[in-house]
Amino acid sequence: MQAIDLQAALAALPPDKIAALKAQSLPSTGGRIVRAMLVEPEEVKE
Amino acid sequence: MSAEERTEIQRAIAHMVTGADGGTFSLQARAQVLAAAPAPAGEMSASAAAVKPDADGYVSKRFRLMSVGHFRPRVGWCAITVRADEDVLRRAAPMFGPRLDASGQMRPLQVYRDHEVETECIVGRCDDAPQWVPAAGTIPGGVENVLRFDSMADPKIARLVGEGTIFAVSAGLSFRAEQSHPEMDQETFLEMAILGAEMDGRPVALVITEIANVKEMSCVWSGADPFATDRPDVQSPMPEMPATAEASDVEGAQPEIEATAAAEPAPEIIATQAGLAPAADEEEVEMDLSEIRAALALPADATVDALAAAAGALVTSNAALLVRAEAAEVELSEMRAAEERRQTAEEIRQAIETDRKVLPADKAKLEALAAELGLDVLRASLSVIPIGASGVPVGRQLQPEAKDLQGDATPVNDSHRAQARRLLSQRMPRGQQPTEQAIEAKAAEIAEAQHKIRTGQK
Repeated sequence: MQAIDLQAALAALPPDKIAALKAQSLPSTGGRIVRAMLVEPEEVKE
Repeated sequence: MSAEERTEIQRAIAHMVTGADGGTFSLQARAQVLAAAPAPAGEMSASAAAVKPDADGYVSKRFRLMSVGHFRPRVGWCAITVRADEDVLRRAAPMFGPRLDASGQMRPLQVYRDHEVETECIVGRCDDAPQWVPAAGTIPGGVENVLRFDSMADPKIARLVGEGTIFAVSAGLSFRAEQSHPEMDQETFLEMAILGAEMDGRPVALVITEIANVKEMSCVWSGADPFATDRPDVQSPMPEMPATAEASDVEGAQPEIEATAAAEPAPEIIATQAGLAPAADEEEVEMDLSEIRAALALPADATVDALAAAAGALVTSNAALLVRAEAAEVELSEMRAAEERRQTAEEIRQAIETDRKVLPADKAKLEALAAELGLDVLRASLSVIPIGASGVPVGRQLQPEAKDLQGDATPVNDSHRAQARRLLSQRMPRGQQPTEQAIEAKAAEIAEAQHKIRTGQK
């Protein structure tokens, strides 16, 4: 099963979008994901 | 729970964890465990009271280890919404407890501090069977268990947990996840999950589909799950935290875990969730925000009004000072002229007393001459003035009287007008000259100011 590295995907976002998300994002409730892999939607459908 | 019951449950758990199905757990086995160890009513409230170490030195407390619901843990520079559904969490409930290793040895679930997974950071263990507690009111369902903190290994943590100063825990998990809204492209999904947005009435979130492993439990200052405390019946107050962190967090967050995961050819570790203390920069952001709020709280209108009033007063004061300065300049010029006249009069007086006497009838004429002519000319004139027997020293009459200096007003003279013309010309655009009316008005103003200076008025 292939999966997408969440942090890599976040880092690949355009810089202007990252800046906008930083300014608009809701706060954290605590805790941290230090590494995450996201299953692609196509694979979920299969 | 008796020792026999605990042993039986532990064996059941160990069988599940090491089963031939490779780590997937049967519903029957899990139901057996939960039925054997129900959560007694009221036990949670009792566990929240201060606890002293037992005879073996353990401080034992029941905790909510993980709950059903949405959380927003941080990942790199942002926070993202994660959802844990009840069926997934119930299926993984047996993993929130002890297990058998490959050699058949029963191993406790280790308890660390702040997810620092090192031997010197182990503060306790979990030996009991986990329990599933259904939702009640606003409290979501979740997994609970008793954590035992070793007061000999780490007396500080044991004491703080025992007295309730440390009351939150966090699970170190490995899990698979999928998009809550699979129709979204990845970038849009991430953007909305980071923003905490909703779509079709549901939060856009990473949805946990399977908890692959519970690696450890940690005591933390505050975990992602607000109910994961020694009092899950009371949601712990969550401090406001900025959603973002420095970009360096992406590369610097527990690299040893990332390296381990990256070394696996087919990573079973899909995600690891950990509750960590806030980064130092968050406090700085909070401090910055406080300062901004304090600045915004100032009465802006009052400040502007006060500044405007002060500026107006300065303008008025400056204008008055300028007029007084101009008058003082005229006064200084006239004082010099008066000194010259005084010297002239003194010379006349000496000349008269030395050579001749002046008749009273000629005094006025002599005074007029002294005022208009120079000394040399006056001396020549004196030579033709008739001499009287009881003449009056001319110098005394030539000295200005005090009343002349403190009279009703200083008349406008040509000196005032010249000064006024010069001052007005300096303020006018190049090539333009002030009107005679303006000069006369300014001269009067200067004369008035001069009079006030001379008489000590303000």
